[in-house]
Amino acid sequence: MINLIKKINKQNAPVILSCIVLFNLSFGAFIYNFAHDPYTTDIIQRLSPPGNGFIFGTDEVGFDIFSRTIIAGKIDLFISLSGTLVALLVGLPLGLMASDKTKNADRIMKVLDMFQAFPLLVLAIVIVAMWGNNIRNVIFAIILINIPRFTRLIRSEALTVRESRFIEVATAMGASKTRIISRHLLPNILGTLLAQASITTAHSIVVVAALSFIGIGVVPPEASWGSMIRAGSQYMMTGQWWMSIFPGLAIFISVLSFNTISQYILRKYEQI
Amino acid sequence: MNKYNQEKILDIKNLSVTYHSGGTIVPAVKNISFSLQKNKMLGIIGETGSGKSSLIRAVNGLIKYPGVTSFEKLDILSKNGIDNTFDFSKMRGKELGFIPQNPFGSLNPVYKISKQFKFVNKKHKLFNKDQLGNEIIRALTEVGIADPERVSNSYSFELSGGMAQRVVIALACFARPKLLFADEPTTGLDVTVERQLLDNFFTLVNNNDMTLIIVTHDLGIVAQYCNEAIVMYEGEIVEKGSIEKIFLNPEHVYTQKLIKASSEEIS
Repeated sequence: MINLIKKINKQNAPVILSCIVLFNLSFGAFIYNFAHDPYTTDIIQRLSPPGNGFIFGTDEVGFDIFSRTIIAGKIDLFISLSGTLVALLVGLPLGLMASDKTKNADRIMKVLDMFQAFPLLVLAIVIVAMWGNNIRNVIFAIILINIPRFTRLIRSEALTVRESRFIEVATAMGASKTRIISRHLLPNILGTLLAQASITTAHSIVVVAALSFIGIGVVPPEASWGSMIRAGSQYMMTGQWWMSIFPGLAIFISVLSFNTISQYILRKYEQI
Repeated sequence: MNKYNQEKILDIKNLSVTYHSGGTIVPAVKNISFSLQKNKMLGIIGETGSGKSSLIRAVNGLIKYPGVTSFEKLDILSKNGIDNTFDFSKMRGKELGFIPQNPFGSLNPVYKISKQFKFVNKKHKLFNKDQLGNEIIRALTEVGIADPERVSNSYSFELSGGMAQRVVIALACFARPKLLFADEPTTGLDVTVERQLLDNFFTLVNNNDMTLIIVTHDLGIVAQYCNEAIVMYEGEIVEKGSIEKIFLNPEHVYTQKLIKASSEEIS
């Protein structure tokens, strides 16, 4: 433990902090014993400001904002992380296939162009509206939005690496096609890929928040940052600022944390 | 020994390489035929764009779309039945070796040098694990690397150009290919390093019963080290034969000009 603390320096301190923040937001719901249950209302204490028993105050029906902000992280981060992960797993083989100079590669790129012609947020809204308002469809929308991004990125990265001499040399040494992809191509694009995955997760958090802000995806009483901001937005003008500010801050720091991690991965990768 | 008794290691008839780009077809190699006996050293001379690199890439099966290779007969190591769908990967490494131009780009930047030797070893099952470490050191020493331990523990970008090229040569020769192709192996090296490297390289080739085809635009290298030469101009062979014939008695105008130009450069 002491050794671990000693390893903290100026460079990795923000990353460690980001990891702690993200850990708390994702698993806080399972760890903490909240003073106020996030799913029971206390109607007498409604709209009470931060302090006196409620750290972040309460909302218009008397829900405790602190516990709900932490609990919302569980669902919001789960949606964005799983959506990004699946999109990465689908985009990776697609991108590698598209980087080959074949007719199928052209077809993949044409389908992607078609997808990217739609505004992505609108596409997500349409998907959720079409197939029903539940979390599974929100995750599906996130996956669908992010597959073209990953495919494009992996294709462009793979195209440059494929042209490099060492791939040709590996071929000339007798390496098989699968071996070239797994041992020579993938390790060379991995850093960029992980950094992009981290940024994409951050972006997905915003998309999930935007969706629940307009009332689709995660619906109350299930907590989510977007719907909490939405509920609080009506009270901003009358002085109850705490309802929107705290979930907004949660989005802000989680996006910031993912971006910090992404930056760190990219920097580490460039060092080797 | 009568030369007709010797084993033919390479026999090419009417090999062409064309590049298809945006509707136009650019021929790089036009109907080339030649053959090579075992243990000979062939130098392919020609200016930039004369198709010499395309030629040896085609023989290695490394031409990819939009490049197209076609031939009437391509007979490598007396293996018949090589056609356009032939899977070269069975022959590569152990029978065909290839040394590319740019040494830095030829080594994967994410692996240490020793790891890259291990990949070759794993593919061709050359040595067992206990021997491998010593064999890597030996292979690096063979190409004239003074501190093989340090080099085998470095990444490619930590090496100098000459070192990286030596490593590439050691890698290509690690599986002892019977037929070795070198595509301008000394480009970008200064003359002293070039000489040392070539001396090591040709000793290695001679000691291990390899046949070498070297592509270069340096007539000096060919004159000093090779037995046979091919002169290429605009994708065609303009002259082929023994070194003595080409250098002392060149027939084609282009060869004459080439030799004259390089001797003017020396004087």
